[in-house]
Amino acid sequence: MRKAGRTGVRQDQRHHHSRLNEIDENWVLRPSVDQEPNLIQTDLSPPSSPSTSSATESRIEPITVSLLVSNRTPRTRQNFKWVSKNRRAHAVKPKFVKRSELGSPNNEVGSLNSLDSDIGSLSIEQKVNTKQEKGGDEEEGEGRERGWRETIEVSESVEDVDGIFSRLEKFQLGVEEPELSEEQLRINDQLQGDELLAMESIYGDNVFILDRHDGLRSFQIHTHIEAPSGIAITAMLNSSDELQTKIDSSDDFSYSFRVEYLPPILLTCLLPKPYPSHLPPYFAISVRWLDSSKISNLCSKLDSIWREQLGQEVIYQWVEWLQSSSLSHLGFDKEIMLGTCGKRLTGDRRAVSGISSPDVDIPLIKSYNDERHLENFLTNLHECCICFSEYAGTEFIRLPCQHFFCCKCMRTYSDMHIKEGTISKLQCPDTKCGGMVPPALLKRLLGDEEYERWESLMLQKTLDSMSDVAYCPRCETPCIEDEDQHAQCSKCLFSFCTLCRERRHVGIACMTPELKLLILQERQNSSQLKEEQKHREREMINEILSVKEILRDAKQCPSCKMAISRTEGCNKMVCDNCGQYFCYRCNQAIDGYDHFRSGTCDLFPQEVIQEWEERINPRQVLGQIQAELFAAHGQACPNCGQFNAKIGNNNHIFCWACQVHYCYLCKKIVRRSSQHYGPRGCKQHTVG
Amino acid sequence: MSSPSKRREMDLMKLMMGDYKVEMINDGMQEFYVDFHGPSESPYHGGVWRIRVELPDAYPYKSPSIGFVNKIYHPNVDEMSGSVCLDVINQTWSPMFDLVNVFEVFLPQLLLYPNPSDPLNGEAAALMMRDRAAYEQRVKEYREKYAKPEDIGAAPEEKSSDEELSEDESDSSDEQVAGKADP
Repeated sequence: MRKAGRTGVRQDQRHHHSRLNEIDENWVLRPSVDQEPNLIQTDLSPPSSPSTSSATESRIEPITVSLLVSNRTPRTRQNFKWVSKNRRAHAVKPKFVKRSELGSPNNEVGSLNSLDSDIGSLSIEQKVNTKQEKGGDEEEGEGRERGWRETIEVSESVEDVDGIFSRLEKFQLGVEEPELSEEQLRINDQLQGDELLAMESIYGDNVFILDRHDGLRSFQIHTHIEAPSGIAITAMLNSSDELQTKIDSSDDFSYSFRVEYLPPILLTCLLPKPYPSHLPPYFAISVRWLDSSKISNLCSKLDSIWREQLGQEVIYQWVEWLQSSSLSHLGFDKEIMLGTCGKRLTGDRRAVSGISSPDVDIPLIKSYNDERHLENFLTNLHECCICFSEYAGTEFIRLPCQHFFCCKCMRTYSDMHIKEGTISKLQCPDTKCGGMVPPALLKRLLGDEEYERWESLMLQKTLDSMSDVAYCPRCETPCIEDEDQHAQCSKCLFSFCTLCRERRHVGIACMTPELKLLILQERQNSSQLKEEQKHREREMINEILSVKEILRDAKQCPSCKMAISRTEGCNKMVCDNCGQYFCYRCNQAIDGYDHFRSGTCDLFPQEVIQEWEERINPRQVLGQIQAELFAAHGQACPNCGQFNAKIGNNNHIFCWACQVHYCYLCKKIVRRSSQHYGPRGCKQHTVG
Repeated sequence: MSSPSKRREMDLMKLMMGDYKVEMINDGMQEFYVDFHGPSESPYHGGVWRIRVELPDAYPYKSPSIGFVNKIYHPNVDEMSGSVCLDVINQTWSPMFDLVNVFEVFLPQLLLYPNPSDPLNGEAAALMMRDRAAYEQRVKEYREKYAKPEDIGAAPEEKSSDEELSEDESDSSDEQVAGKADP
């Protein structure tokens, strides 16, 4: 009977295997999950009694029906309801779809506790049953273990889900599964279903379920290892296969870096029918950053966990162990040593290592870490350090120098600089950084108009810094200037004078703007002029007039001739265009403040000083006026020497400059007026 | 701009929390006075200067203007107007600088390490280069004259006593005039 069963199983498997290759990309999706909860919940009522099996008996029909349905109609996936959730947060992209979350999470959670106790209590039952067959189990176990050991191929792909599943199936092929009674199968099936649901509610998005046609459950659980305070990863850079035995680290170069998020450990499982009563799940562990021997180590540990509690559901224990203790088990809790691949040990076939070489692995681990950090950033609230408002991470812009600011502030900042024309200062707002703002970012941030202005300003600035560049008056292309203020455009071959931008005039001076204006205005009246020409010359007239108007109020920078008008401040001006310092009064190029000490130009024009003083110290103005009015009667302050007028007959004078009181008569500082003035002292009020 | 007002408030608050005496001018959060103490280990130590800060509309994207109200003897401060052509303030201002930065870092640095190569007060610069001791002496003199703590705080008191006296004076002068009018 056994033999027949075996071949039966084998054939099934093989059949399945070929079909797998056909429908490679398109896994059939689970039927609508509404059916399942009912099944689970009703099972809760009678916990640990043999009657459970009978209770489930009546409900077996739906399960088998659905299995049959899925067996017969593999292509009716369009009938099935599904909600997919693509998690692209990490490098591994499973090709199958996550089963939707069950409709009533509350019920799930509520029922979970009872589920646990159910599973626990049911498994006690199982243990009783399995003890009888334990002898057989052990044999099988050994055979199975022997089956794991094979030579490993180099650089296995962790991402190859199909490959992993076909491997799991091979495992299954290599194992002689016990024949079980209907009842036992039902129990197992029930337990498996419960366990899977439990896993889903605990691990949520990290569980990826694969639906299969032979009724076997299979899934992959992603275990994320996070180290909030960072974990160091060290890679040896010049180790090679042959030098395995050499542990001399002084010759090797190593590279170390820290991450907070590690790519997940993937536990892929295929639950056979005799699980959990007789067999553990077929599993494979894939890790991108561990080599096969380490993963084999983990696999052995999982084996021992199973052996500690034979006959019980074990997935949860496995995942929890991987989550919390796997690193410390390998001695990696503070620092992870990145191994190399290609170790030609006969290792565990269940270990799928993603390691290839440091130049591939290190960027991969780092980019996963960065992606997770970014995800974390985007979902949290942050405070912008310029405006102190709080926004979600998505409202922020991060510059290449890693500094981030909220969109509004960046926009205002960029707009202001572009409006002012100070694009050379348009860099990272951080105080010490000065990092560049990439043009693509500016394009996104600014309106089209502003971006164009920025582009043209940049071009202008660059060309202006090249002093011998002139623009062709006809086609506006930049040209190189020759000696003698002459340039020839390479595009239109127009030969022009760089000073006045007219046709080259050898030996004759440039036409003055006034003369030009007169001539142009005259020509406007001429009837011989074609409309177009007239219009163009009209434009030229306007331009000259505008320049004239600008120059009326403004001064020109001595080096670049940019027209600058002062709105406030002192006479020491800085040209925004070229950075040249110059004096606003006399228009000379200067450097520092020496110019203002030589006597011709004041640093502050009188009006500005006056205004300032009025604002700062109104009493000064008053004092000054009074000093002028009553100049005849005044006295210099004994403290600071400022001349102050005597007001009326009052000999008590208040010095506006140094804020001290003094007596006009005796010219001394008065600290207490009641003591100084009086019958014995000076008279406070005297005429003259 | 509404949201930068939060920035202004924060900056002002930080300034006030940093134990600076801040006096607003007309509640607009545009201009205010701050009392600034001379940094220790400099000849300015012990002096208190009233500093007028004006925040432009575009603050924090544009730098604030800084001026000394009472006189200070310093190569980089104009004696007449009290304004500071502080290069850092104007040229390398960043929206991330704040007022506390100005008062904690820039101004003390300026007072501790004047820049004689670009002086507003040439005489002070020259003196500093020529005779450091005399320069420091001068600084102290000015400090005694114009930057006493009472000078900053006492001004309003003096004003009231002035008014009192002037009231008295007007009374007496009236009487006098009245007296004289008789014959």
